[in-house]
Amino acid sequence: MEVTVTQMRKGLLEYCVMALLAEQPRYGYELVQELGRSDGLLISDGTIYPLLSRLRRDGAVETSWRESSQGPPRKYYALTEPGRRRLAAFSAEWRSFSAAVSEILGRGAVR
Amino acid sequence: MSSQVRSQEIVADYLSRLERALAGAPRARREEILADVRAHIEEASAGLTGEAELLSMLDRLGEPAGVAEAALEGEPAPVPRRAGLLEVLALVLTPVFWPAGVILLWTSSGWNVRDKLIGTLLPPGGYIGVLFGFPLIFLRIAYTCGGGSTTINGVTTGFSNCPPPPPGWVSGLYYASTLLWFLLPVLSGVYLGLRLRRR
Repeated sequence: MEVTVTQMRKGLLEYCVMALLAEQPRYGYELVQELGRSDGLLISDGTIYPLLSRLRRDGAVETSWRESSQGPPRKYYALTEPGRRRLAAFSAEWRSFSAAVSEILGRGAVR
Repeated sequence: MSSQVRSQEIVADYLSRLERALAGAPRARREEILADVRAHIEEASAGLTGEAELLSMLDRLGEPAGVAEAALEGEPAPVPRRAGLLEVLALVLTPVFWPAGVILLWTSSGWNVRDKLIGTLLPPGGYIGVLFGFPLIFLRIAYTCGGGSTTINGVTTGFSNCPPPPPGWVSGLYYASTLLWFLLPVLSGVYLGLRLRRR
C-alpha cells in the first residue's frame, strides 16, 4: 500500500504543480506553500526543485526572474503552451479515471 | 557561539551534504537545484526564530539523499563497468602484442575516445612508433661498421670499414629516441591503467 501511495504521489505531483502554474506564474517557495496546504501531496519540500528542473527541461514550464521587495530576485515558473496541452490531456484522463475508481470503490463494499 | 553563526553553519552543512548527494547529477542540474534550494532556505528563514524552527524547516525540506534521488530519476544506467576481463587483457596486450591489444582497447567501454587514441598512437606499434622506428633503423644501418676479411698471399687480415662516427647530436638523438621507444609503451600502459581506475 505504501508503495502505491508513493507512486501515485510521484505520478500526480507534476500535474498538480502544472495546474497551480496554470492559474498564475509562481516562484518555488510559493509552490511549496500552496502544495503544503493539501495533505499528503508534498512529503519533502526539497523534491519539488528536481521536479521543476525536469519540467523545465521537458519544455512544460519556463522560468523568469522578477524583482522582490523582500530580498533577492525570485525565479518564477510559468506554464508553456505545450505544458498547457499536456495538463489538459492529463486532466481529461484523470477525470474519467478517478471517476471510475471512485465509483467502483463506492459500490457499498468499501466503508 | 552566537545563534546566527550557528544557524549559518547548520544551513551550510545541509547544503554541502546536498551537493555531495547530487554528485551523480549533470553539473548544470546540480547547480540549478542547489541554487533553488538555497533560495528556498533564504525565503523560509525570514520568518523563523531560533535553531529549533530552522531545523524543522530543514526537516520539511527533506534529507539530501531524498532530494538527490528525485533529481536522478529516469537517468540511464550509470558509468559502464570499470575493470572487467576485457580491460585487463587490453591493458596487458597493448604494449606487448600491439594489434590484439588495440582491438581489445577499442571494443572496451572502459576508456573514452581520447584515451583510446593515446593507447593506439603510442609505441610500440602505433603510428608514432613507425615514425620513430624507421629513422632509428636507418641510423643504425648507416652507422654500422662494415667489415670482413681478405686473404692476400696467405695472410689473412681483417679489416673494418667504419663510416666516420656520427656527430654528437645525432648520437644523442639516437639514444634518446631508443629510450623513448622502449619507455613509451610502458608509460602508455600505465596511463591507461590509471584512467581505468578513475572511472
